[in-house]
Amino acid sequence: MTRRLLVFALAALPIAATGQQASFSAKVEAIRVDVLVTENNQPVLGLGPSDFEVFDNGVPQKVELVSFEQIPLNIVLALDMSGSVDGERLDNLRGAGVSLVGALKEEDHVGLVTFSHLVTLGSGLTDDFTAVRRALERINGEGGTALIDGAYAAMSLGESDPGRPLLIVFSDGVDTSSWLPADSVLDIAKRSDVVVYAVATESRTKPEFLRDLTSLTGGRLYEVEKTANLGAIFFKVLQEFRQRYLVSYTATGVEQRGWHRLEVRIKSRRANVQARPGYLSGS
Amino acid sequence: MLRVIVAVVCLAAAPLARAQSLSAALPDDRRIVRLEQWLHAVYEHDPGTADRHASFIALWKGSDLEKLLLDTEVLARVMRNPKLRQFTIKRDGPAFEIRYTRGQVDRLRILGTILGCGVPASNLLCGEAVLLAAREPDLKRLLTAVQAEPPDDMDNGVLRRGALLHTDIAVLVPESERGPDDRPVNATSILIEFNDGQQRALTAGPLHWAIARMLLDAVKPAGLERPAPERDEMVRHWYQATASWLLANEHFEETHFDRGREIFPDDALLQFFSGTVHEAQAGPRVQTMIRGATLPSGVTLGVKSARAEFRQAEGFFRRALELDPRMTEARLRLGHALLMQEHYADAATELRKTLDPAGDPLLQFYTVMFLGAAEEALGKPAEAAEWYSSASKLYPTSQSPRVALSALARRRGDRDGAWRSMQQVFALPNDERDRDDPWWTYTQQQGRAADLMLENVRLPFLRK
Repeated sequence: MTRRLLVFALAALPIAATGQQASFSAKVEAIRVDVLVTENNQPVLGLGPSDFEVFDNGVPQKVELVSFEQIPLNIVLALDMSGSVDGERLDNLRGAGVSLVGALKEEDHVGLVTFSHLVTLGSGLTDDFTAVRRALERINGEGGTALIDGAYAAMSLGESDPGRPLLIVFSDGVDTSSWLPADSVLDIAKRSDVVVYAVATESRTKPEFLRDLTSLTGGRLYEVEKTANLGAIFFKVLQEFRQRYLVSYTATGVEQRGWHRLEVRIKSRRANVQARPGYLSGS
Repeated sequence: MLRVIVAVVCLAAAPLARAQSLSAALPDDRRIVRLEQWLHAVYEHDPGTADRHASFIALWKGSDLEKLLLDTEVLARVMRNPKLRQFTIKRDGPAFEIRYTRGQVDRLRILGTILGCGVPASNLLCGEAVLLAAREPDLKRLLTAVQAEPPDDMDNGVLRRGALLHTDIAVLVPESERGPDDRPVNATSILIEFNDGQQRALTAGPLHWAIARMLLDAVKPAGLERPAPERDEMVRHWYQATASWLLANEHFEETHFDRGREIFPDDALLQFFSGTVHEAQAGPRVQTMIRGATLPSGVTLGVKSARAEFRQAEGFFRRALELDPRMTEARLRLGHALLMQEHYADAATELRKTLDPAGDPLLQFYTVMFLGAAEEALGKPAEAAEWYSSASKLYPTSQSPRVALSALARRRGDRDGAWRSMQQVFALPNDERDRDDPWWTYTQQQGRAADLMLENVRLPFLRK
């Protein structure tokens, strides 16, 4: 969310006696929040603007627009291709990626970023799904893990095109090679529209970065013991993302700059609402 | 691969045996046979190779090497003083005595006397040993090898060559071609091996380095009465070269660095290398792995928090610079340690001192990358961007400066600029062989001269 739509409203002033024309611009920020609404773990469908309550830094906002399954998706897969991903794990990862691409709609776009210590673009955002499948067939595991750099690169790709960005990160290890510190990328995530879902293989080392990144962007972290069901998880993520609402409002009564705490509720229902906890304005 | 050493070995004690004079050998005694096999390997090994002698010793089990460690220490003492009767060993734990049979002690005295034939005080015994050697081919072979050493350093030959043999095993013989380590892992020295962030193995601490260190502790430069490794340049260069190799291969064995500094407290290079151990241990890579390490009960890791490790690194770098103010690399890494402790202005000050457009591009790359990070933290994004850009010019296929530029732009709200820099990352070659990013090897680069340094240490001992 937080893709800012800058609306320049030009108001004509009376022409001054000197003959000079003056004008001013007013900046209006339209805020978008990606929201998942569930009851008993089932998505709640059919909600409209009047069903939502949005509080920006505690100030109630007027919800202007709620979209559901109307905006094509920009899905970016960010896959860990470090040395620990090989054999069956690599096959499962390839298979899961191919299955996900197979479940996309014609109007969707998909991109692929892989990372070991190298961050590489497997495919830019495209509707040529065959090309992405071919790119997935070529991936191979080798080297260290630049998870933080890779996640940032994938977020950048997701933001590079108008649309509704979903980033799915898979990693089976800890970061060993990134230049960027985790805090830096988490700070950027607060400014980004991208919703991040992540799948991490279970280990004694907790995937703290992925936990924070998914939480800050309103996504979800899956920790799996094995990769055999990776395809099913990717598909579940896609389904869940399609069942999310895109809630839009114009921020009023709040400071323009800085961190904005967000709270989204559903009127008259005890529904579970999953959305990013806030956004960093001015970016 | 990343290895971390966390503690030191504690060995079991045994009572003492007594011995008086040179007498019958014990060719069927397994412990002595092994020691003699080792002696022949030491003298016949071609330094700098994984020859059959190195391969032979490398195949010994961990428990046998542990006994060898004790026996060679005793042998080194007997060599200095063939009349020695008590063998008390003092390591990290309490002192203990080693018990040998009378026959074992007699043989140790013969071997020690032959090895120490260059020591004037042992001349009479030496003559006796020479007579014994004349009757026994193996002893004769050993005596011939000893006498081939430089006359003024004859008694140190076994120590230096032994250290080189075990160095070559540690450096050149692959793990897969070494004997099993059958020692219990609950000893106080533990080696943890990580690969791509995952813990792969947990074994008792490495012994080849320990044997080499112990041997060199007994080096006695010509004209001195007692062992004095601190007065020996070969020992100094060995510590420098091996420390460099350990770092290049990410073996953070603190015991090794500690001993080097203990012997040579005023050696700037050893201070510098010690700083880089703590710098690497402070990094997210080691810190994350350590948090997820599976350890035997009662074992705690020697690695401290990132901040504490960086603080220690800073101390070593400052000491290195006191000893050698021209050591650019120590100043660069001091700047990095300060940066990571969030002393941004101090970091920038130190890093600016290492700027040298005509200097080593590798060190300049690190300098400008860290300067970029410092300026970014100091709220000077334009300056930061300039430093990152200059890094990308130094290494045109490097990834990290472009990622840094992209993130810097993105944090400033410049989405287009961020995307342009990221497109440059995506435009880099996909094949690692076509990319060169020094950041990936920062924690190893301080050891980049290790091979050359080791070659120089081996040079006087090469077969003519």
